[in-house]
Amino acid sequence: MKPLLPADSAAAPAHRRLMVIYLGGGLDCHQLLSPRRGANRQAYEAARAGLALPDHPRSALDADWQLHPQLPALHRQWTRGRLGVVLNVGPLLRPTDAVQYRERSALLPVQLFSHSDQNELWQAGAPLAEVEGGTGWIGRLMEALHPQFNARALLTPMLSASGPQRAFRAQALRQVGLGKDGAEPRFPGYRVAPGVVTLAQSIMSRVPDGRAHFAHPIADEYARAQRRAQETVEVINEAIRAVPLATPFPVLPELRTAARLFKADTALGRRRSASFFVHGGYDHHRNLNPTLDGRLQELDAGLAAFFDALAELRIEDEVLTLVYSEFGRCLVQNGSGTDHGWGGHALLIGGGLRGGLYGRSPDLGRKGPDLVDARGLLLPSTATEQLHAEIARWMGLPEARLPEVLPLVPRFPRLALDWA
Amino acid sequence: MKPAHPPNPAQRPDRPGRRALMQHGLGALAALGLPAGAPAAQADARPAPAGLRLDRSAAARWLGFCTFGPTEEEIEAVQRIGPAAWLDQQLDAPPSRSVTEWIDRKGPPGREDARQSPHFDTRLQAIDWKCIWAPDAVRQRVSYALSQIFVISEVGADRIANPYAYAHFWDLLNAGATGNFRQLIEDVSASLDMAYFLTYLNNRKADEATGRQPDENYARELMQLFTIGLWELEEDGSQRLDAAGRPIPTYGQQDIVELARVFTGFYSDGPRRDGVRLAFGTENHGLYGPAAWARRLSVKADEHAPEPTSALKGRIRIPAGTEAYTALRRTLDALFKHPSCPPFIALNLIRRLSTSNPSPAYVRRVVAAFKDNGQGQRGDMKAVLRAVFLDPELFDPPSDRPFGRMTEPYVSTIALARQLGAHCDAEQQRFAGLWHHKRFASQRPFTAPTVFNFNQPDFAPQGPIQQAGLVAPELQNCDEYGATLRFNGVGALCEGLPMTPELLERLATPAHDAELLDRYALQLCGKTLPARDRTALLAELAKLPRGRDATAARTQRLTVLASMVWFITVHPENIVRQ
Repeated sequence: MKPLLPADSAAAPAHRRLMVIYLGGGLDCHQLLSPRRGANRQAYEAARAGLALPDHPRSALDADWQLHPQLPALHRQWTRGRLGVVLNVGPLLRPTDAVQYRERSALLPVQLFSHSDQNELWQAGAPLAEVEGGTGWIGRLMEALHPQFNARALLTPMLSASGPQRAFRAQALRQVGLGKDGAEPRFPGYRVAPGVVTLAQSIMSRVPDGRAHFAHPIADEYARAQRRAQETVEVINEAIRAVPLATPFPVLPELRTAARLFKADTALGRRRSASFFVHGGYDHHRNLNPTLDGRLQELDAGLAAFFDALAELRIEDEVLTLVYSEFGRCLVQNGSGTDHGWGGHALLIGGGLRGGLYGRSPDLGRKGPDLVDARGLLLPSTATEQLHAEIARWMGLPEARLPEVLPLVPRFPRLALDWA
Repeated sequence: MKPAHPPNPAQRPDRPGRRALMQHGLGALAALGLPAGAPAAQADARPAPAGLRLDRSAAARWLGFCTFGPTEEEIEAVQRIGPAAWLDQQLDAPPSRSVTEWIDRKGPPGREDARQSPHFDTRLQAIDWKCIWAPDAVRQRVSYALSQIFVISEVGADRIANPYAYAHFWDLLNAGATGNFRQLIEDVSASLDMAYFLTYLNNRKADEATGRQPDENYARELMQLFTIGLWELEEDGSQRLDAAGRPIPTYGQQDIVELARVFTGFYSDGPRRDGVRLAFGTENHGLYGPAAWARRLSVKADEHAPEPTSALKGRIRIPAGTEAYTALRRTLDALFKHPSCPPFIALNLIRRLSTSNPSPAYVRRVVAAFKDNGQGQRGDMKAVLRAVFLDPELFDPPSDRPFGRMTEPYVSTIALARQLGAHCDAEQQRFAGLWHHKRFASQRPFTAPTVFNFNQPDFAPQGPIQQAGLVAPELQNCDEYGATLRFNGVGALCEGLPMTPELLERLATPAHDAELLDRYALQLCGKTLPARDRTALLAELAKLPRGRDATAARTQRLTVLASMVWFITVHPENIVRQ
């Protein structure tokens, strides 16, 4: 692979880390960001009788929009100019308007509005058929950045606290799965003799990467997972132990682990890295407001601790946090909740981003350019590729190589986030 | 003898008998003890004929697919009467004590404990009891598979601690496992547990004044996950393609909007208090007893959407003003008759029970059984399960694809309990509680993170499996973290192996280690360990102290036993039932 930049280039920042927080289930974008005045406020109240959040000036972003009131720590990031909101972003194949949608004259991603499919669309970072080998956008990005930034790394740049993620799939690089406090220590209890444990480990370590070893490919793959778990457990946990952290984490210890591992990048020889965490429970077909309050309180407390930890570790500007969900929810309510939508709002925090609203402010009018279908789904005005491309640029991917990571990028205008 | 299988549609009638035998792989069955000269015509009609006999190892292996792991008695029974007759007995077995009744009567038959007051844990104990001790073992194993298709979960923000929550749901899966699929989806749809989990309980018709529309949740997941799936399927489980070679979605957003109307007006008619019926809500679920929980949903006619409904390319047409259950039945009828339903369910059941990567012909045979049980009945689960478990592919796996699947942690957990008594109070027939399940990381029923189950049926890990176009759903839970949970969890399970006086004596020296190891491996996995690993393990075991005084002997010999069983269970060749 050709190097991206001359090795001694001063243009490449020493460290860049991406924290991805995926809110599983479809966060209600209209509660995350609710309109404060004008036609949008009227449309919001009309569609959401009994559910519309009242005006809450302390959570205001500007005269038109307010953040959910249960997100005070995120709002502090806004006040500090570190929170960017990317408005109405979602999977698209090309820029599409409401007329094209209604006339079915534009090609659309398949199986929209399904949890599993929109999650795959977000994470694959391109229509599934166009992505080679089932890879994901961060996997392709990390593979492109690898020779320049991570060639001597002792550990993969992609760690997931929430099981295997499509976004992290690559050709050669692999993601590694963690528990909430780091790599799970390997200890089958006091009744299994250590010599037998060692023997089992050695048998599973015999399976080579590319070739079959046992009688079944699933057995091979299971053994490889055991082997990788064995090989990485101490590397990871020693790296974590080497980073003392005073900031308390009352909730979401996964973010504590991620912060410490980001700090350990120097010791691990990683200059570009990413962590993934799924915060689930956002599929609020029923009981939207009380349940969402609970989820967002926990998220906000976790984010507050995470940002404090990054400040304590002095890596605030080297860590960019992306918070997104597979879809927003429709504007029209169903009694006490809301149903699946399409576009939603994504949040970017830190990493030197200048805070602000990015993308196009949605018009919540039922006959306007942004809402489609009977239930009022947000037709995305920004494609996931546009958002991901900005993150890839921030990570140091040169413009010329964007299409190999995000094949659809040339079809869309640049989102042009503002960096300090 | 019942005609268990309809004629195989892939079968060409002009094929001579002997070639048909080979075609079905029955040639190799001879090696497993098939009596010479089994009539070819019979083999044609019935892939695993009544005359098929399995030796001990083949019987244990086969039982590994249709039970949580066979007991000695089950292995002997299959050897004696053959897999087909044994499966018939199981499918016709009287239902064991239901979970609801177990909680109600405070224990299994003959072992009730009047002092026990029902709580959240009791339901867990009752389900474990059924999986470990109930005689209708196949029904329990299939119910666990069904619980991974018709997913409900106690995980989430508004979990319900009532002991009867989810109890009736296991019971209805039990009934559905050997009933009819059409009835099963109606029982599921009319259950309080599902209505609560997928939020159509108290779902109301559209209201102009507030702009309220019906909740779409169940309409979507019923189709996507429970009946027809996202893509139209051929009868061999592959995607149907349009003229341009593209797969065809089974439904679109407008179908969801239409069908959401069907699932309106349903509520739960709760127990009476002070003469007033209590409709179910989170604040009063504590008052719900077994009867209220098991009662099918009631209907408030004036909350059911009156609009006409038309969906699925005209397959569903419900006139305006149709009564709620009539509308529900018409919808379920249409989904049941949808051409994608048999392959969708067949593929899911095969993947959850026998192999992650069945051949198209295997799927086709199960689909044929779903469509017609031989007596013109569609959806007969007994016929479907006979087709799943007696398919020739189980006895003579094809060489062009890997046969088998990775066992789930719950299957390993129950296997060691029912086969070796791990963590069991055999006298009282009680298994370890909630805390232990956490240590075992057991994926016990009704604990999936979302309606999308612990894993998705089309998951393929990065690497050779994905490159080969294969799937391995259970590997979604086996990243480095999941692998270690398994590694450790089986160890925790083995700590609870019972030490009998006989074992204590036999483990006193390494003399009997080889014999014990082979016996356990055979029972647990239907085969002995690979020779090299077996030798190495025996050498390790020989190094272990066996204890002089009584206390040390017990602990140290348990270490020998636990090490043996742990090693067998976590061995890659065994964690995949193949």
